[in-house]
Amino acid sequence: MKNYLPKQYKIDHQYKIKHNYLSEQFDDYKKILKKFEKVIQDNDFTLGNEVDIFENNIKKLLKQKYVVAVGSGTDALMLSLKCLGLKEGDEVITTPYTFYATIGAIVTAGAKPIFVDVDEDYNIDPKKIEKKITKKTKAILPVHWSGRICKMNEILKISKKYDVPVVEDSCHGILAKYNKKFAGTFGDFGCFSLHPLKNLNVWGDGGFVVIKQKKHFNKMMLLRNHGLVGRNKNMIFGYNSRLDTIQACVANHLLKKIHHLTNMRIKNALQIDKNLKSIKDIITKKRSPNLKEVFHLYEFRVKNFRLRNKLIKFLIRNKIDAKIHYPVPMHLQPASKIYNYKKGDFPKAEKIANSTISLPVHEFVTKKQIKYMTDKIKFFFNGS
Amino acid sequence: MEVKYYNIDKEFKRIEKKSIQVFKSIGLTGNYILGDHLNKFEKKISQILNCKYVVGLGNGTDALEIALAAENIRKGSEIITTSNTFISTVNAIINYGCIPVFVDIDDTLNMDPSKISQVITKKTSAIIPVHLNGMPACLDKIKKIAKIFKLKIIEDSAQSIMSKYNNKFIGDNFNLSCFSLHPTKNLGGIGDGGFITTNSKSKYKKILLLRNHGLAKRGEVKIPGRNSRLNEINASILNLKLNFLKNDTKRKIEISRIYDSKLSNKIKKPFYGCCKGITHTFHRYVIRVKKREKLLNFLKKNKIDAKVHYEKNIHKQNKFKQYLKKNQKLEITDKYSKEVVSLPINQFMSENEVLYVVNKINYFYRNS
Repeated sequence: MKNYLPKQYKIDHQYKIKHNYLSEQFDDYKKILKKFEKVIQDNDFTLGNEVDIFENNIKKLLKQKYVVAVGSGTDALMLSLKCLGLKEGDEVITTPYTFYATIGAIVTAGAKPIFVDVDEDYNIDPKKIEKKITKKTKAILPVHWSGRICKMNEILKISKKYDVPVVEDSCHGILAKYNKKFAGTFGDFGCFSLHPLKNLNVWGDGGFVVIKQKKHFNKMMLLRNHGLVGRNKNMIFGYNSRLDTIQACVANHLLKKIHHLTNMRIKNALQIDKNLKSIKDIITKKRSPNLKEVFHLYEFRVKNFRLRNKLIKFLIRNKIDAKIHYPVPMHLQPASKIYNYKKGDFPKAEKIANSTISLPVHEFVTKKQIKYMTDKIKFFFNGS
Repeated sequence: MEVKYYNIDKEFKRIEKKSIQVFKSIGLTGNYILGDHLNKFEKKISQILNCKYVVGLGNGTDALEIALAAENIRKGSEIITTSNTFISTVNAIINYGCIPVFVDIDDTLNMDPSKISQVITKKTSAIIPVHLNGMPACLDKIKKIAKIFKLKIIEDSAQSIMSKYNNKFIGDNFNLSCFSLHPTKNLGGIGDGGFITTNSKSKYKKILLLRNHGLAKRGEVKIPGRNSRLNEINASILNLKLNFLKNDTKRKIEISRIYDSKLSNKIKKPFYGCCKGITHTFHRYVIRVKKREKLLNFLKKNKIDAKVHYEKNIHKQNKFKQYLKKNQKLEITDKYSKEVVSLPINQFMSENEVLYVVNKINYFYRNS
């Protein structure tokens, strides 16, 4: 078991067209090293000056008042739930089609995840939320999967009607928009990840939270740092979840390119859309003018799910790093056993998990590579 | 003369060139999390501390929370610890869903084993002894009590890397021992970090899952986990720093010997307890004095950076008062909290600096 990731990275590096683009990103590391040196000289390792700068940068970028940098996207979610005062036995409504961290955060916060099936857009289906609301529901946690915002108007209506706060899992969604509003700015909390493979990343783990209300902001500032004010005064029971200063240096540096790399992802995705359009055996997502998707992942589905794994193998043979995000939805994971879900409980999530494929779409993928990928897919189905 | 409390920038100067090289090599592979540098770090620590398993984590606080989960401690149960510790010991207990119960300390500034059984109830599930300042708690006596009452022991070793008990390193046993790699620690990273050591394979396996979302491999979640990983950049820096750990620790102990022998007997110097085979590694050199505030002012005037750990003990903090038992008093904890002073101690201090501190303190007490 140990660390399976090193092996994974070695495998990833065999591909011609990779999901992992971090070595390319590393090109201008010298500026960042200079900043590291200053951090070391100033002994400014935790909650340092660059962290303040980062939080201010995000405030400006997303036009928000309150931003708190934390240790990871998972912690961003967990601490947001803790800000809401969740207790053992409380319920949080979310989607089974997500990364494990969403659920891990809910369970670590002491609550029980209540799943609601997804819609064709891979996101939680608002029509199915209301049925699941009980007295114990303390939050709705929509996930903007792959950088496509959920149907937030409907979700906010339900939130208002039942007075249940919304915590957005925007880990995939920096700069994504719905009706001109940024991901993470709809609900009470917007949680973001800075994991190395996110659109905006650091070189380790990191995350941040965008917060609507001042009282929540004040609490979050305490929660991330042991509940401490100054060195010796404890206001509340807190955690240790801080974005390292050196990681904030990386984030501040990469933030300068965030619009460029987002636009590149969008451009690449739309090109893939166009190239795949003629293939009848696959389903691409419907795009909407109200949505600005930021394509943390580019996903499409294979109509005949028996062909999905064959196509993946075929692409891999052709050195294309095609992946599945993710093959088993949360309710069917061994970790969810205690909640007694079974196959068929969330048919759409299961269907998507059985048929989806993700292609590399990041800013370093070239037009030529896109053509190569889509040609291979065409060849697989049409044989020409 | 100015005597600084920390000299962290000097620690980094020693590894500057190499760290840039390693850093480049990490950047060029793009593997920033759970990679070869962490594996190497874990292996090295297990060799140095002579323990079987090591798991690198996000920080020392997480290490405690994860240890509680790995030991499967009953939620709502009571956990015994001390109040003169960093707040995260107690926060971890509360965050996990348990109730902290305080026990008084003795002259070592650690948990007084003779007072533990007084606070044990039916609800008690575990004891968290803190090896404060680098001084090991009295593990043998604590173990005896734990055995009688069937309690788990989780060690808060955040400040005690390389410390020894019974001539064995702290962390070399079947308990979960939780360490911090915060930059100010005897072994400190370039940001937050921590690790757990144990000789138990089953607990080790569970911790590997807990730190990484419960993932056994890509796509399979075995248990609900969290995200608490020691990143590659930090691990690579720590690997470089590890080369200095033995000598740095030795140097700190040398400095402590000078303090021990030269400081006036009007001052209470560290007490090394009655247990056998103890090595105190002096994350802090803590003395107890009268007229503390005056002394601190005097030292400040003489540019000596002394500190107090901790100004306000946990059971005196507003939110934590509720955890004192009815009529419970922590007499020694309260008394000593008004007397403790941490003197500067780090591997870069010169003999002259140490003697300067000694002379100033002795002068202060001679004339007062």
